[in-house]
This record gives sequence, structure tokens and C-alpha cells, in this order.
Amino acid sequence: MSRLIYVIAGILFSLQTMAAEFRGYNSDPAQGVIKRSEEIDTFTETKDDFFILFKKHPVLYSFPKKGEQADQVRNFLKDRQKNKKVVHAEINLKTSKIYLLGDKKP
Amino acid sequence: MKLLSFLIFAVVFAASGLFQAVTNGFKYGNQQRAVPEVQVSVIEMQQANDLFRSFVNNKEIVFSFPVDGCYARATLMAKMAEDQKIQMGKIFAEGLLVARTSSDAFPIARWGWHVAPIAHVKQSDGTTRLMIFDPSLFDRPVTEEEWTQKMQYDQDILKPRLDKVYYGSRFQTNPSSHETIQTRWGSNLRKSSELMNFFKGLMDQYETKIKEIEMERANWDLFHRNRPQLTPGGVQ
Repeated sequence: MSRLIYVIAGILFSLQTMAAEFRGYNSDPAQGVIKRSEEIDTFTETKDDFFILFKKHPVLYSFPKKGEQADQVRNFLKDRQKNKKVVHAEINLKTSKIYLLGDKKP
Repeated sequence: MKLLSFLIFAVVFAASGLFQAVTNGFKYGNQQRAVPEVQVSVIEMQQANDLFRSFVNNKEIVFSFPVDGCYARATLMAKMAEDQKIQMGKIFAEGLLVARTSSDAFPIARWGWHVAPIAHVKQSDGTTRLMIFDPSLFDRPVTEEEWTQKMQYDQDILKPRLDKVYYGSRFQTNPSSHETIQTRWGSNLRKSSELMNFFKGLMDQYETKIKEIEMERANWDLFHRNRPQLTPGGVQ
């Protein structure tokens, strides 16, 4: 019985620590890429985008809502904001659009 | 003794014309973290314009990238002013802020908050007004109304919303929710300079890329202009 508890706990732990990663807008290296690893301060939504505010930075970076991925991204943002986890983002310098959003790689 | 009292009175009277207080909006929970008021210099309009111009002409501060770095620019400007014996404060705005900038490369800036340095400026009618020095958005010092209005551009995909506006000392870089009490420059100056250097590097890279793309486009145009015209009968 105790082994089963350990196995379940292990599975839950690995599920929780599985790194999430989401593709956003198409990358355009010609416009410059900026990388941020920060906690999420807050985020808001419009019809087509999430606008994400990282801690200590004033910029609202946009991430597209794409079909089913939108719910996953919303949950990811809520979870990482609540747990104050550092996330990683690769961003178009010119437009502040996010190409890649996910957990910070170890 | 009378002379001493008179001198103290004279110094205080003279100093009162040099500074005016603004309320310090930085709070921690229900407790005021910093002093309740921030002393900000009162300057002449000409002095304000000269100060603004000196900010714009400073090549160490990157105004060509309005999208990010307002906190670093505001800190470096406030330090520049202090070096000229002008004590600035800072104004913070929070919300969903959208500004139409004068930059062709970065026409829209969207912020969760924005900051710029402030000073009291004597007006032609003898009154003084709190004015904002924000060269990333304006070409002159502006009033608080103009400044907040600028960040409510309503032709964007994001509907702007101004939640609050408050003041802080020249040492405070981020909104209250992020900030510990600041009563000196600390490492902010170094960090601000580093960020400006980082942005300068990005801007150089960006401009180089743009030049490469423009050159490529020009070559393509040249190629298409000089390309032999194909017709059903063959090359002409």
C-alpha cells in the first residue's frame, strides 16, 4: 500500500514538474529577438491575444489564442502566476509578440 | 540670536521657493514605507526646456526604443538632473496603457505601467505646474493630463485603461508592488546603464538587419528592373 502511495506521489510530482512549452507567433529573427526569464505579474485577454506583464518590466507582451491551445495557455499562465514560477519567453523586439512561451529550462 | 533666527528664516524661506512637495504614493500594505512627501524642485520654464533638451541629447539614454526601459531612462534622467542641482521626482501610471509613439520602427507601445521624471515648472502666469519629462513620447515637458492621455490611444487591439497615477522619489524605479524602500541610488544607476547598453546593442543589431533587408530588397528591385522581359515569342 505504501509503495502505491509512493508511485502515485511520484507520478503526480513528475506531472507537475513537466515543462510546458507553447508556440506563439511565427518567429522573425530579422526583427530582433529578446529573451525574458521572469515571473508573471499579471495577464489579460482580448479576443485574439493574451497580454502578459512580467515582474519588474512594464511591457505587455502578446501571445496568440490558438484554438484548443488557448485553454492550456490560460491554465499555464494562471498556475505559474499563482505559484510565482519563473517562465521563459522569446519575443519579437519590434512588435512585443511572443514566439515561444514555457517553463524556464533548467 | 535675532540674527541667527533671521538667517534660519531666510534660508527656509528661500528653500521653500526651490522645492514643492508631492505625495509619495509608495505603500506597503497599509503602511507607508517611505516618507509621506517627496520634495521636487521648482524650476523656470527655460530651465525645464534646457533640461529636456539635455536628456534628448544624451547618447547614453536610448529613447529610440520606447517599447521598454522607461524605468531605466527615468532613473538616468533624474540623476542627470541631480547633477545639475535639480531634484526630480517620478510619476507612475498603471493600467492597460497604449501609446502611439512618433517612432516609425516602434509605433505602438503597450505597458502595464509607465514611469517618467517630474519637476515643478514656473508658468508665464506666475503659477507652478507639475510637468513630466518623457522624451520617448514627447518633444517637450508636458502636463500630467497630456501624459496620461497619450497612454490611452484607443485605435489599438488592446482597449486602454488607466487604473492609477501616483508619485515617488527619484530613487524609486518600479511600482510599489515590486519595490522595497529606496532612499538612495543604490545599484539602480548601474543597472539602468547596463539596460541602456543592452538596448543600444539590440538597436544596432536591429538597424543592421533593417539595412540588410533594405539592401536585399533594393537588389531584388534592380534584378527585376534589369531582367529580360519574357514574351511568348522569346526574350526581347
